[in-house]
Amino acid sequence: MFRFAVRRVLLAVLTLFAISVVTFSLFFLGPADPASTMCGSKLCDPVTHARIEHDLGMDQPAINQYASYMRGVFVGRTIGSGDTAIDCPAPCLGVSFRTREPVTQILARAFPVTLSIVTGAFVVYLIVGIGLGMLSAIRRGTVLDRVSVGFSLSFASMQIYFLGLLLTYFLVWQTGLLPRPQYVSPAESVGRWAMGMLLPWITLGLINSAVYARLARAQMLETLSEDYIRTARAKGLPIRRVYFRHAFRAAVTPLVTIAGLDLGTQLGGVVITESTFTLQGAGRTAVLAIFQQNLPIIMATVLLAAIIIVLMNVVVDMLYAVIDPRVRLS
Amino acid sequence: MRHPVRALVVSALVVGLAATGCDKNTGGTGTGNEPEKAQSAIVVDYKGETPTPAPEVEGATPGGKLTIMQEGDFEHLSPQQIYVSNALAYANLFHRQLTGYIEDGKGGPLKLVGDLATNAGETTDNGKTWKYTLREGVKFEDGTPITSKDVAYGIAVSFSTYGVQGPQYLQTALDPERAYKGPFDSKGVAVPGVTTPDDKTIVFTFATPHAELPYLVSYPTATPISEAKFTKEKYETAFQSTGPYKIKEYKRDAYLDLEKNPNWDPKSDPIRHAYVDTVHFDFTVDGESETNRVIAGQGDDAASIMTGNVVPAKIAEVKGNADVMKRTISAATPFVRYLYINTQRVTDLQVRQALNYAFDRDAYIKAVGGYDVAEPASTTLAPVVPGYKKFDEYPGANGGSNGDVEKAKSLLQGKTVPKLKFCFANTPVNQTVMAVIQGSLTKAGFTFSSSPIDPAAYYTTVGDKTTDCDIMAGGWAQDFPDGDSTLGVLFDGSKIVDKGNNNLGYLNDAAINAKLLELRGLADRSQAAAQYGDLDQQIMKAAPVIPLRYDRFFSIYGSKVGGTFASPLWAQFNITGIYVKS
Amino acid sequence: MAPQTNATTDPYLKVEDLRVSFPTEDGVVRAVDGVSFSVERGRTLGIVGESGSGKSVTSLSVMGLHNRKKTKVEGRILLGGEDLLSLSDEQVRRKRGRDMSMIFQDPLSALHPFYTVGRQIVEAYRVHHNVSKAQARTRAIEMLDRVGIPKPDKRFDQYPHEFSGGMRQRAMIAMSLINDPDLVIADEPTTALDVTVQAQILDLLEDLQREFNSAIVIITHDLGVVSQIADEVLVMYAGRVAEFGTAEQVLRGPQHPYAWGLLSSVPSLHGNADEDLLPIKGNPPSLINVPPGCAFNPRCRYAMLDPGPCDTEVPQLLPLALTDEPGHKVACHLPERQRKETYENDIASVGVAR
Repeated sequence: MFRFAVRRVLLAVLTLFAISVVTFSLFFLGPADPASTMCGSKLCDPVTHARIEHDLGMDQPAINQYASYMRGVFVGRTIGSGDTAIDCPAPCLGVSFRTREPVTQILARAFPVTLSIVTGAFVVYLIVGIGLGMLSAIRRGTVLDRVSVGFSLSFASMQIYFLGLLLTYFLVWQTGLLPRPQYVSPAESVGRWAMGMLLPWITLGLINSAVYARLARAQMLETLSEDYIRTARAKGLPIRRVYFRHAFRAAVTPLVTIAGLDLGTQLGGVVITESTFTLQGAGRTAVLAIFQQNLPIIMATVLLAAIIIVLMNVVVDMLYAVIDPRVRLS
Repeated sequence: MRHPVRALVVSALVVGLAATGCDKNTGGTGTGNEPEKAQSAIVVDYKGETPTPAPEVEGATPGGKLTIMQEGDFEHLSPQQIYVSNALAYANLFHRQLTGYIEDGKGGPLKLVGDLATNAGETTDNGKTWKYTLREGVKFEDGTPITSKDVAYGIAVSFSTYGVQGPQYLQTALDPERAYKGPFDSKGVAVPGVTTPDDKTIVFTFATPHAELPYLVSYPTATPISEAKFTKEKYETAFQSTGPYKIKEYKRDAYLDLEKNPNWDPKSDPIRHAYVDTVHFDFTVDGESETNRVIAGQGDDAASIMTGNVVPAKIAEVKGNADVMKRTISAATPFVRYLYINTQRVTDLQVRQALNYAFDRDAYIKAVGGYDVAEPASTTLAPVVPGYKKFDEYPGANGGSNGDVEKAKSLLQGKTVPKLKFCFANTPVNQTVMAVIQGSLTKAGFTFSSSPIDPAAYYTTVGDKTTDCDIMAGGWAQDFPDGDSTLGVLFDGSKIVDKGNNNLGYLNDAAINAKLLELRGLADRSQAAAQYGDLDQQIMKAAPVIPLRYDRFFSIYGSKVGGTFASPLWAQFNITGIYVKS
Repeated sequence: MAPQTNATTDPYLKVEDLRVSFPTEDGVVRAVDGVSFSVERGRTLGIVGESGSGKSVTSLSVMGLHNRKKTKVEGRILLGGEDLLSLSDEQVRRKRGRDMSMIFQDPLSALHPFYTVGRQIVEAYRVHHNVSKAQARTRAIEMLDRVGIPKPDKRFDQYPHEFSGGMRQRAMIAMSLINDPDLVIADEPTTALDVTVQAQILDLLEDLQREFNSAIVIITHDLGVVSQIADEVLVMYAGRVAEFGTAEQVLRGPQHPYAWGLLSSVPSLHGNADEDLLPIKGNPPSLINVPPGCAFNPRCRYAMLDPGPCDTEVPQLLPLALTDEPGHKVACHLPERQRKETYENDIASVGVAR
């Protein structure tokens, strides 16, 4: 188990290194000309242009830029020189081309928003989706099952922006039942945080629930036809115990992988959800950065997403080993 | 001045959704827009006759909280970095400069007056030397009196890293070689051309006349900074206010709360009022939600203004609601779009004129979102430019706005026009809009090869004198309300350089160059303004551009908001006299 | 093993005229169609038949493991004198695992892969006995020891995939017998195992039967298993009983052409295996469309057709008249004499019957 863990982590580190090199090359050595965009759409005289490039460190050889970038990530660095230098402590992801604000700070603001949306929605779709799927598998063929399958079909094919705008229109603007979506730090007020996040949770939660309900139903049905479920019943176990102890655990195991990877992908940024509800999360920050060719922010969001996804992969693998004893040996 | 950059991910989708069956506005010409009240002239108060405090706004009541909704945070609020239109408009709440504008919502002329200074500037040598004297009682928010040294320091900062994204006109005027690098990289060196004989006086000295200086020092470039209090990057979110409001709390990307600045003395300010108690900027909105919230007006939103235009999908809803329509502001902006015709390559005047005649304005306006957000253009000056003159050198057939294909064809008779290379920044909007334009021009017999260019590289490519583009899409907004800030930039052949041109028509007409030079030399800009309209017409006769449209500001404000109107300068709400109805 | 017809006690399991059917999209499946049999304590009944003959459905119906909502079960299933079909789900559940238990074919898939073997056995015990975990553990280890698993206390904490096939089936048996049930149904208990292990498992079952004096129903398609362990044999075809008798009667003197087919298709240990075999032609019928008359008639080489009765009348399960074999019953239209002759001439020389 320990060696398994070490091997997975090493592989993850290697992957991240490769990703950092590739993203860096793509963005920093690409044709983008951030200095010009910073001049706006007007005359960018060569002197100013050169100064901006120097300020951004873009007049350095690529390998140096990469080296100082990575140094910044691990030990921090000083960007620029003299009195206008910026001290950027580790983990330094550079400074915004536009505002000279450390990217770490920008992400520290944006990431909690994404984290709030995603974890809340995650809880919703795990409970609603898996619950519904399991229930509908247990009550296969009943009205409940049919309603649940109908729910899955209609919500799984729905788009976030469509459902989100629809819900906002009715629940916020027409009836005023819910406050409009906004991010309030939970440190400030847990209640307002939850109220502000409710719509994104419901929207992202419902749409994902539909997918999970379908998966969970299929998994549960498959598991219920397993021999060991018949064994459990043959032992005279109460049916609840058969469902929850024996069937549920086996049925939910494959979902752990999917949920873990979904969670990872979503934590990297849920652009459409964030945009639908105008929440300044990691995804929206990344999109804005792309519009502005703000390379350090693009780079950081890509790296962050990669780290989370790779990390979630490791977590899922470990979790799998914990859940399924057969994985531990191999 | 720059347009703010926005991530319009959802808005674009919304347009797509809404496009199914709500837009009934298929009427021909600019229906619904009242005739533009032209900004006939500008008054520059060189003598310091503007009264302080500013005269009361009729019906204004003090108190209340104003909410300003803006998609995304300001890029910069550190004064010397401010250049985007929103920030320029709303920085008035906390930054003061040597001069400033008094906008008149009732059609009267725009005024440029002394803000921190007692007047718009004094010159005795036709613009080579300018003297400003600070008003009595002007202070930073901590109570320290503002001195001319603070203004000079602010200007010094504008030369440094902390001013690189702001306008560069003043810096280039003072130091054409740009040898001075600001108070950090050029430590101990005085700002070239700036002297402060005493704490109240600041003197600018130039090698050549700069009649436009009073405009240049209205930018936050000339906002005073106390050297001891300048905190570099941190100044973006923790600046010393000089205006009626100061920061109460600033959460980047979330909100900015302003409260009254007790050290702002209305008696020292001819421009601003401070009727509302607090101002709340909400950065967590987009065009869609801004519109929704102002329409709904729940709670604080009743006293709110939006900074974006009403999104296209919502225009029909707004127009269908009589109550909301009362709170609508629809006005011209300084933004004009053109197709530049490269006169180096398309040398035949009649061909350029034929292009102008063939252009179908109506089809184009519909393609860019309709008459509520745009208006067909026939001049190079925006209607808000002082001295703007309404004329149309290339009217459509039968007075319509669908172009005059027959006229174009007759101009082209006997000529063979080669295939024209049509260049534009490769954005999704341009891809569709440019196709519509080409479609209309093709009717007159023109042929094109489309050349979409990466937006980031666009102006570098077409700004190169040797470009092989024949037609180039572009836009402009004046940087200060003066005809020279448009015509002098876009059509002065004497300024053509190898790279980085703004004169994308590469027009080099001796008569026009001479006229521009002459007008530029007039020290009294109020007088100069009147002559730019005629020059505009003279330029249009040479057809270096096809004027496409004037952008319009179409926005709504909350039911409890009073004392506001469209700012012709910034395409925003004027907030100097805004109040909340009690 | 001598046939023991003079029953001293009432049979522990008595199935009377069991009919099981369930609807599907293609039609109603008549999985069991009027089956009756009984087993006494200490006795073993072998149910033989091809897949789809209804033998597994019969056993699942007895256990109450069929889908109650969809399946229609008629007749009577008397367990210790009590009709299981008249009991509630909950009452049947309480009997499952305690009064009657089941051993399945593939012990790898029949054991939950995520739980230790010990835990699964303990669970089977504690569901019917109110004892502490420690007590249950002791009992489970005892049971593992009893079924011949070495180092049972170590094995207790291992997972099914860490066991060999034979060991897993032993563990399965331990789990089935931990509550000392009076009826054990073993559904193909040795099919998934190596031949050498098969014999050990069957021996173990016999040992345990002696010890616990339980009634055993063993379901198999393997006549070898039947000959080794069963006292009585029930041959099923298409949901009906084709033949019933003691193991001796059915294996030595089978009366039904289907039973002949089964015997002929098992390789004998003598002579040329390839030449000896006479497989039954065709496939078992669909239980939705059972052939009219004798369900076996389309595959029967001796069928009397055109005019019938084999394709028109369902044959009754009747005792033999000419031979003195008490209890031996067969459902076949062929005259008894002809059956006897055919068997002796054609069949007895082929396959295991030899």
